[in-house]
Amino acid sequence: MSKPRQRFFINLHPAACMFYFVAVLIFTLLCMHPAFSALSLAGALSFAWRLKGGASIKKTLYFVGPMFLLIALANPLFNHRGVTMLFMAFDQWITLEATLYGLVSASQLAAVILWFVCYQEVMTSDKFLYLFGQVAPGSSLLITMTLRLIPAMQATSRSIRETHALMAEGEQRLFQKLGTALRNLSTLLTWSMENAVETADSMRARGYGLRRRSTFHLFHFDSRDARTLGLMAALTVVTLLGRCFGHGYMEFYPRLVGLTTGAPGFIMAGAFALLVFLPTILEAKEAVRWRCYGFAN
Amino acid sequence: MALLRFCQLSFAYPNAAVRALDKVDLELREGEYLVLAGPSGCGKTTLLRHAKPELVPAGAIEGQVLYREQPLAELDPFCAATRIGFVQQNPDNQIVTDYVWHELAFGLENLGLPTAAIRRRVAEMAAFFGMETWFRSKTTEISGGQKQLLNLASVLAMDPELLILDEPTAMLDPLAARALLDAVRRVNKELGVTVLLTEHRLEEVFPVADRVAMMDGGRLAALGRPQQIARLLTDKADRHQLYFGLPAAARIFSELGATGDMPLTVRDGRAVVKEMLGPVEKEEEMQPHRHLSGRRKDGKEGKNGKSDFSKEKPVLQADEVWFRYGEEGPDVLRGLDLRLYPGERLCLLGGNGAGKTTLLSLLAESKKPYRGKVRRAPGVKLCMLPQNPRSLFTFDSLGRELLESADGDQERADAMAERLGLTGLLDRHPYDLSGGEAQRAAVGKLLLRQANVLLLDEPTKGLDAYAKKNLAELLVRLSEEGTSLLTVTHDIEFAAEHMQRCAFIFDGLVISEGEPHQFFTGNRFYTTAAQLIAGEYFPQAITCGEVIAACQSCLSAAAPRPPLG
Repeated sequence: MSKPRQRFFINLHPAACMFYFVAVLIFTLLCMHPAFSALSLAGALSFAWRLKGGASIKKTLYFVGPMFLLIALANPLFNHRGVTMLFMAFDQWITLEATLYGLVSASQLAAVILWFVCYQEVMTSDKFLYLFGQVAPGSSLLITMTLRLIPAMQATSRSIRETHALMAEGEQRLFQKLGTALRNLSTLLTWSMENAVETADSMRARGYGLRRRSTFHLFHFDSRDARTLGLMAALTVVTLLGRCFGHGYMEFYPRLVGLTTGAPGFIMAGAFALLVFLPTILEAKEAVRWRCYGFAN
Repeated sequence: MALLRFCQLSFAYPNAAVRALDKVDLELREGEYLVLAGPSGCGKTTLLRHAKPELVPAGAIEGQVLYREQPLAELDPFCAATRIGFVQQNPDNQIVTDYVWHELAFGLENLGLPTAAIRRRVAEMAAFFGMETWFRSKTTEISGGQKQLLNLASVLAMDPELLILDEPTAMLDPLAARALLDAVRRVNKELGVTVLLTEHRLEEVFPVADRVAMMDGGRLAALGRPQQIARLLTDKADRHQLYFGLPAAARIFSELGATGDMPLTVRDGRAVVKEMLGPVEKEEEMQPHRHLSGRRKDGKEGKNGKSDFSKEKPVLQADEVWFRYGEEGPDVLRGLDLRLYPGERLCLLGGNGAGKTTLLSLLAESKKPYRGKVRRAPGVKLCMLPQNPRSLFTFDSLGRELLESADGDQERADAMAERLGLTGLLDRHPYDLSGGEAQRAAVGKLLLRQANVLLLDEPTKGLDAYAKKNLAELLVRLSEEGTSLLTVTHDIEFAAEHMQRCAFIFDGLVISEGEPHQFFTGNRFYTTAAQLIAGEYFPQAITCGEVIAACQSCLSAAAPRPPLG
């Protein structure tokens, strides 16, 4: 399944991407409010769907969906705080407050997971290392090397296993299987250590350790990044101000307080909605741009 | 002016009885392309490492290495890192980082260069080697040939004056090897970088090298132009190990006793043969034919033994197998048929991505075809010789390795070591064996497991011509003893000389198959160098030996000609 071509956000400068994810995640956790968690969940879902495509997102949902239901159902079943009784289930009062609280925390958690799905897709290791590599060049190199080593060792391990699987005779019992696994592991370790010696040679031969390393990257901060980052910052400031003045937050127990807080609350919700749907909107704008580009040429 | 000079350099590894290097005197001129040749274990790598200060091995050193007439040991470390580049054998292990662009920048980062400067240098390198399409790829997701090209490029990005390469093509298939050597030649010719290279594909480097230095037992045995060295090797009565790696043109030329310039390429070889035999005549075309078929009538069944197995029952059989990776993927195999008969040496040829390795895993039943069937005869014990024998080795000595495979039966283990000529190596760590020895050890382990069908994936990869010859002898012996062998290879010469049947896979099907003579003579381009040189005269001769024999019989049959001047 090929990924849909959604490149606008991915191609933004890492600083802009990082700013965005941090802001969205913090607000998702801070704004304990049905409207805000619903918005955040919807925004994350639409971005993740744009980034990864339907088939892949379906797989994520098979995991997130049941978890959402579990939390949403478990809270009212086990928590009986709140004054608005809805009905009896298993000899327990189910309250409106606990039900809503369960729903809100479940969607908060689901939203955070989906935002992290997007984060992983957007913030590849090179972007992360670019942002934090300047601070600690040594550890950033270590991370880079590890990121290469893991798939390399997986490949080696696969070839070892396949070779030995052919030589093994018939069904193996548990004890034998364990022995085989241990032997394969020992082969892998010996081999990898031998390889590491060569890697070390190759590093020294290219002057590793002579001076303080600089960190190379391929990123530019252009006007598009500036404009997008400015928009993100403006929306963040509005949301943050709203949150500071007590909007976008609800008391659940003993009774629901602060579901609506008048015009400032709506303004804040609007800014937040724009913020969480920003990637989706930008990608859609990009798609339209390509359509027009196609017509123009 | 000498860029690098080894002065009476001797070296012994700690606790070693023999010196690894013995009074080596060698001078490398600026801008030169010098090939260091020699049998494995002759000290080539040790010598190369003495030319790169960071990699000088620990041990007792006598003599000196001078870089621009200054002792190399006193060279400023910064200068040593940038001025002298070193590319090793294994494409994977030299790569440090996770992205191609980052790997290119790695050396420059070590020098502390600012981003803008690195960006420029990296761009230059990527453009020079045409790496644009995979510039942003992950280093674990590119092919072996691309990896080695990346290693070369990331060393060159540091702008060296001297480029040292230690068997850079040993782990590559012939096509990727050629691409890499072409790149090295461009670096030498277009950028003027001095190149010092060890290589066992002499037929690839002899035509481009300025000089060849030959090492033997830690000493410098000879030094000269490629033609001179080739002549030296062919003149000796007893075959030096390196002889078997010489270009076919040089071998044919010298065996025919011709004089004049030694040809090193197919083009020059063809001209020489043409000059000796005159224009192609009908009669001459027939003669070698008779010559070869005459030999067949003696009942010797040709050089590689019998090739018609169709009456026997196959041990392994693929019936119209279809395979693809995943439902959406393209078909890798499209109804492929293949049979392997008892005691046969069958070889699968074909380009990269033709489905050869996929077919092997289907035959080994580690993957299943989605249509068609793979059948095994009863009693077949099938084993796979992996590309890298290391995946078979677990213990710290070869002796224990064999003992484990023999299920603790010391007698069987010893007998196997004897049979494969490994007796003297039993105390060695498997990792310290040479490429050929490691391969024999791996085969031994498989045979001790009672394997009677062996699948070999690129067994000649990384072997020099002499080790290849040994491997071929072993394979012939095994098949005569009843083991069936299915070899996947890119090595045309190896297939022509030692296999009984060749099958060419293209686009998921066996396009053509047959006995090597019949197979290669039908091909126009995908054939051996010997056939390319003399195919016009002797359509049935595909190996150097056959071409030489045919030429000789032709020359002696014809009226005495004046020797070629």
